[in-house]
Amino acid sequence: MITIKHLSKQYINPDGTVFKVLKDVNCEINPGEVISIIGPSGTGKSTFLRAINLLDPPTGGEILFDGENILAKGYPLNKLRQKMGMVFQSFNLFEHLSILDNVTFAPMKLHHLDRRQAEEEAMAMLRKVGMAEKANAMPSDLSGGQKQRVAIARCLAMHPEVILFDEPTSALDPTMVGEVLSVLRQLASEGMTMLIVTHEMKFARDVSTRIFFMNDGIIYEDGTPQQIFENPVHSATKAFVQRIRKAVFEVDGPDYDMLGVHSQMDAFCNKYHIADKGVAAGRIVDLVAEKVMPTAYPYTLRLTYSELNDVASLDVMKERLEASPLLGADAGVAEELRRLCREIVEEPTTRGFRVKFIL
Amino acid sequence: MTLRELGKKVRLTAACVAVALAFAGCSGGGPKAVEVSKASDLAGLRVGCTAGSIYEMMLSQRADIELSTFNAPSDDVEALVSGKVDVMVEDDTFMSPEEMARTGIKLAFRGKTQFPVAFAFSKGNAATAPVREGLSRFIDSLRGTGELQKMYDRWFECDTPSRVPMPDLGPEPEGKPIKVGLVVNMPPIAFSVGKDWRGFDPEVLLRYSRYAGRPVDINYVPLASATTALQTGNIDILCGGIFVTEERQKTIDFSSVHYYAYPGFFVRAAGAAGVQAGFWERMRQTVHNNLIVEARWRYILEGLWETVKISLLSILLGSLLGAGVCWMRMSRRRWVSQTAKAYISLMRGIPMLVFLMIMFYVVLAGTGLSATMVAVVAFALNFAAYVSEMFRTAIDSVGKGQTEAGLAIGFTRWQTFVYIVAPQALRSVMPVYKGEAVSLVKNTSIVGYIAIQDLTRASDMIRNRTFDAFFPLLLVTVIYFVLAWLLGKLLDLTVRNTAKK
Repeated sequence: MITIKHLSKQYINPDGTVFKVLKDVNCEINPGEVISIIGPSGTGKSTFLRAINLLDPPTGGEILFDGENILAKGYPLNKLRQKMGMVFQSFNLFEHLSILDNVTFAPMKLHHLDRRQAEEEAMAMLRKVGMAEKANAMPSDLSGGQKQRVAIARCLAMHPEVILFDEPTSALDPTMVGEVLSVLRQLASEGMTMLIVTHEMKFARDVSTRIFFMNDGIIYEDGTPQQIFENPVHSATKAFVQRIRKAVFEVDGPDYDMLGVHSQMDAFCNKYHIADKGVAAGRIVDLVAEKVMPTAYPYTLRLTYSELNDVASLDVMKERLEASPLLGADAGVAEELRRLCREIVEEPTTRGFRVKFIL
Repeated sequence: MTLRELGKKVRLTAACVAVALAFAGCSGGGPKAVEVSKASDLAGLRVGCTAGSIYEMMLSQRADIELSTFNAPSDDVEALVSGKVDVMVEDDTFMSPEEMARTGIKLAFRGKTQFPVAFAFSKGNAATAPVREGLSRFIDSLRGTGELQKMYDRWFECDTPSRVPMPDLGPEPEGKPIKVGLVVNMPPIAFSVGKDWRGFDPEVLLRYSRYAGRPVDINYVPLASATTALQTGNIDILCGGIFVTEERQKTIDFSSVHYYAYPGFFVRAAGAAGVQAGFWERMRQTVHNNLIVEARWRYILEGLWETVKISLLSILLGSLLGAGVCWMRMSRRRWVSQTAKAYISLMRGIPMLVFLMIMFYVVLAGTGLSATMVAVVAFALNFAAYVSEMFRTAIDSVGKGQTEAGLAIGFTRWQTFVYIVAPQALRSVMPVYKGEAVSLVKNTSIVGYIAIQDLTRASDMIRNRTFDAFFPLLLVTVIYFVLAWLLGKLLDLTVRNTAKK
């Protein structure tokens, strides 16, 4: 369907130096594939996606769509883009049109559908993304997640052969990510060809048929989710997929910023969709501070999350301590702590002692 | 507030009140009348005259008077009536007895200096030289037969020159007209009734027209732009009590002298403002005098049409041009956008009046475009510079994402602009655009400077004849206000209809 050969893109900085965003991208995309493009920020994922429909035209290489070189002079770009939908990070709904008009606008103007037909179809698409009841609202009346679902419906109304998703959930409040991802899941299950630039590792692993790991301007590794997440060939891929997210807080006195710590921990958990674990972590932090180590300042709290294994843990670390602080704790408190987590690991470290609550 | 400022303020307020009272005609006897009978009596008095007139030069030599100068003789009269000045110095024949009686002014005495009056031509202009020589010969022959004196007596030695009929001179000859600019509109020298001009100067000219076999095209020209109009060839002859002086002869060629004027020293007549009538009666008189007599409402109607025509055409043409300039300004080609930028800052830096005069007397002088069309072009060019920047900010304010979304769904660049960016830009530009359009309508009030009889000039024409400052000004104020309001409504309606499409 889409064949990409030696695609490159470079910018010339104001100081005259050349910055190569895409160096040499090669791939083949087949109908029905759901491809997630992952990788560290600034490695050209979005640029690559936007090069495919020439919103950011590449500076070198070839893109073949159904065997035709779309970079050739005179290729009807607007026709290509009608077959190649795009969903943006910032939704970009047409602000001057109602939700229904947003969906019917392009089919009416470009496919010359009459209004009745276009509206019927638009309502079907809006129902599909759960936005039918907002058909007469204006974009400014909607939340981010709702806007993004309308944007997907707008895209679907053109019956594209492939849809490009440019970080569709990155601009969303964590509570709204789910509604958009579930629409994407549904589309994938219906066999839509999709290219998704995303930071949602779990989603990428669950939904994709294929993963592109992009790094340093090239597709570093291309494989099934299983291969990329469990048996990566390259060390860079491994480092990326196995990277552990963490947040560290210092508790250095009775007047530490208790509310600040809680809210930052909540934000961290929301970001990685482990809000339920955040509740337990918050309770543990309180218990430790009030009952277990009420005078043992300073100590360090560390919240970690491995996206690959979906494992989160809360570490309580104290320097120059040789025995577990839990030993001296009240039995009831110890019991409650045990109930709040899956497992408690108590281990000495080179500098002190660490209690690890696996959530 | 210093004492001086306070004094000024009080005086200003007093003047305003005086004007209002003069209008109402119940000024309690009016400002105090002053008696003068010779030039030395002026010492310590407030004296008024027309700016740029010979009297200004004469009076500015005297340190013992407080001199005020006015743009037009009618303002001068208004100042005298309302008590802003005590003595007015103009030609002795400048006001007819009927006008003096009506306004409550009298001629206190005549000065001794005699001023020859003639028709003025551009210096050394070969094209108009035959006309000047012909006219001079014609005047000389009229004087020879005594006809000139008879004409003078008929207009000047008469109490009611506004009712003196023009003699029947037969049909107007055909051909290329001689363009005449008149700087006054006041009996007996020259005054207009509808489309026709009457008075001493017009009669001489119309008689000459039959004699020479060429039609004359007479128009009112404000004194401020009269010499420019003469020098640039927009008019061939300038007249209306133009004095022949040595200094003027350096830059102007004159025809033979057709009459002599003396300085007239006018003062308020004692007890003149005593005629007391009821409010409604006074109102009726005011309306009658300003609108009904000599069908003066036609000035308003024709002026209004001129103002509307210039405004609408300028807005239309200016918006199109503005869109073009905006497109250039947003061009990725540096020289194109720089050109647009230079144009915009140039237009913003030139006062509109100066630009209008330059366009009329210099840039478009040889193109044969009518004054109205020149005004349309000038206003459109100015409007374009301002609205192009408004369009640009409005387009910029529509996020880049909107364009990308349009392109990505399969619209061409042009479709994206027309369907998606433009409607949103239009909505955000409307309030400022409306303001600019309304301010254009108001700015058209300066077109009188290039001899277009617009709404403002219409009020001037009426004021020149009636010496009533209040009513004509109030009337055009109301008309401008309504015009601006209607324009706003019209623009709203247009936008609503476009948005629907």
